Amino acid sequence: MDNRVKNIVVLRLNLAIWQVNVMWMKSEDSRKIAWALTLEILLAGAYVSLTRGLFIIYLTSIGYSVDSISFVTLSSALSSIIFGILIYKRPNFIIRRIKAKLITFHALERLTWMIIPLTQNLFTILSLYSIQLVSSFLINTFISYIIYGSLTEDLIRDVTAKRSAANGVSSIMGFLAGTALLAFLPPESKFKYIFIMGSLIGLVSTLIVATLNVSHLEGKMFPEAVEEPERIFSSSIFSIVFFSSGNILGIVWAPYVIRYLGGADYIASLMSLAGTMSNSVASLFWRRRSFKSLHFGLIANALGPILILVTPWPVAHVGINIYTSFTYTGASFITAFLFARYNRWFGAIKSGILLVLFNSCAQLVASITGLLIKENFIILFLAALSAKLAASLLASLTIPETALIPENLARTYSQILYNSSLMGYQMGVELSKETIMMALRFLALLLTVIILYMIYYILWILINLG
Amino acid sequence: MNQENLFKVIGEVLAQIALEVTLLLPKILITLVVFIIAFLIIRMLNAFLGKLLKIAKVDDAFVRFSGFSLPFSLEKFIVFLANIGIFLIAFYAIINLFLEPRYIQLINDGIYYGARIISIIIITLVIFAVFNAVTIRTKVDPRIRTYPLVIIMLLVTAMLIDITALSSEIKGALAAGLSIGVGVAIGAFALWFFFHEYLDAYFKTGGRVSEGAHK
Repeated sequence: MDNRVKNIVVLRLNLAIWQVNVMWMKSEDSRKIAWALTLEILLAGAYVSLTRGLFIIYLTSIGYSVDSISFVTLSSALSSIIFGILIYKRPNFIIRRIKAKLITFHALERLTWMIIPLTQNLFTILSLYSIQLVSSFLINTFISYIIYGSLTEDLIRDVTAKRSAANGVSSIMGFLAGTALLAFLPPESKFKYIFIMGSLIGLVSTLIVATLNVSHLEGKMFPEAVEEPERIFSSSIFSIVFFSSGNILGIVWAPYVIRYLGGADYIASLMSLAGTMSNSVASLFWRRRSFKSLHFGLIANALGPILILVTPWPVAHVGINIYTSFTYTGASFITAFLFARYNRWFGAIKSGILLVLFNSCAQLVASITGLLIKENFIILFLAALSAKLAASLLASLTIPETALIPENLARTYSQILYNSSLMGYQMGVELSKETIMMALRFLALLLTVIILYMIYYILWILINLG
Repeated sequence: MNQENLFKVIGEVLAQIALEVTLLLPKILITLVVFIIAFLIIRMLNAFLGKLLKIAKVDDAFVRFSGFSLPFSLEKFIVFLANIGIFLIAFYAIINLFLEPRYIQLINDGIYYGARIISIIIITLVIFAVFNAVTIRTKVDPRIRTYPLVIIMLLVTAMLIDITALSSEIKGALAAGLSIGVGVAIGAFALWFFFHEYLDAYFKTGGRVSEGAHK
């Protein structure tokens, strides 16, 4: 049988299995999973605010410079991306003994935060933070897999929105608790107490995860081939570009308001608080909206960097943050909902991994942009604006669900984008291979010449001795 | 000399030989060790260089960049050079043990002479390879091919004269003669190459050449 036909047969079979799986799951079971996952994030949000949210402040407090902090975050993001790509290539790891692995990594991530404040050595912190990020990557992948593998498209939308809202509420609580604890605890031990407290809250969420029944996902088959790779490609590019824009804004906005516009410190905190609250409300607002409405959110979000640049009053930035967070949440749902739709033929496992990978890639892009451009605010805002416009353009032209042009045309554009990128990629790989081989050859020749030189140099010394 | 004295002399000679052998024994042992080590190094180096050169692909690179191939493998030549180097190191280590400096100077001169012969051989090979490549590339007429060949042979002869045991006056005279010969030959060839049509016409018509004859 021809390979392509074989792949299509396997895909159809998987689709049938997925449909049977989802149908077989009682709606009560689905609801249980949905509530358990919402409850999990309700506690995990506070845990993240009390640990990862304060990590940079902790590093600063023990005397690390911006370069060291960037080095820690960049290396850790890189390790989680490498791990993500490996998992994407060999997803078997995710589909066996799901619950045991999820609980192990869930607990490991939280326990790591108990050890971090005990050391001040950069490489120990870097290693622990990398373990924590890789664990976090795996947890998110498992949870995405559970959501995408167990629920229907409507329920996926519902759970995504509820989790986002719960995360917002929980983050606010964690943020308030963190601020209070930082203010009242003794300086020498405050981070120890806060991180341990955060970890304990996180471990309660591990107990909730332990109640999940995911036996239906054990050893579930996943499609080896991708039926419509161009659609996945367009959506992936869109997601990375869009999330990168958000991450760049995240890096630059607060320093801009405080240093450039001369705003008070509390304005930055207020912006963060307002943004999180707006995000919670927006999650519930956007959850049942059509792709076209979400696309409107995306276009509206692109106005954000312009509004930031033309507004010189720091207080007004709180309002702008409410607006950008609200529209950003809607636009970010495009990715989640698109993959909920592709889930049927792309497979829950790959959808889950990709969704987490997008964020890691976006973090990496933003970190590199930040490192390269440093504190040139105008260029950074323009970079964020360009990324948002590029994402809007991609969504308008290459993603059929959100396209402003006829669907067929969007598919064609998507195919063109995919083919040209694939060709570029292949050419890049070939060129890299050639370059590496050339470098290796040159090195080998250099080594040979050095050996010859050493031999004759020794000989020359011996002759002169005589 | 009576029988008793003869035995005594033989005994003394044997004792002397035994003493010298005993004194030389550590040196002989060191020589053996040096040879074994050199042999092992050569073996290991051959394997290592073989792998390196397999990656480097020196022969391919030479052909690609120069457009012609040498009559010998550059990779094997590099390995050969390394082997010779190790061998000479071992050799020098041993002769430093056994010989006095003045003998070492003699050996140095011998090796220097050997190196000159080897260099002439290599230069000759390279010149012939280049000549071959150029004649193939430019599709030179077989009759004309012999001409640069003669020039090359003259140059090689000049180099060979340099390493002979002739007196320096004779060497100088021969080299000067060869140089004049090469110069005249090149001049004559250039004259023929650029003006042969004109000269042909000139000699055929007995000195009356029309204006367009050379065209």
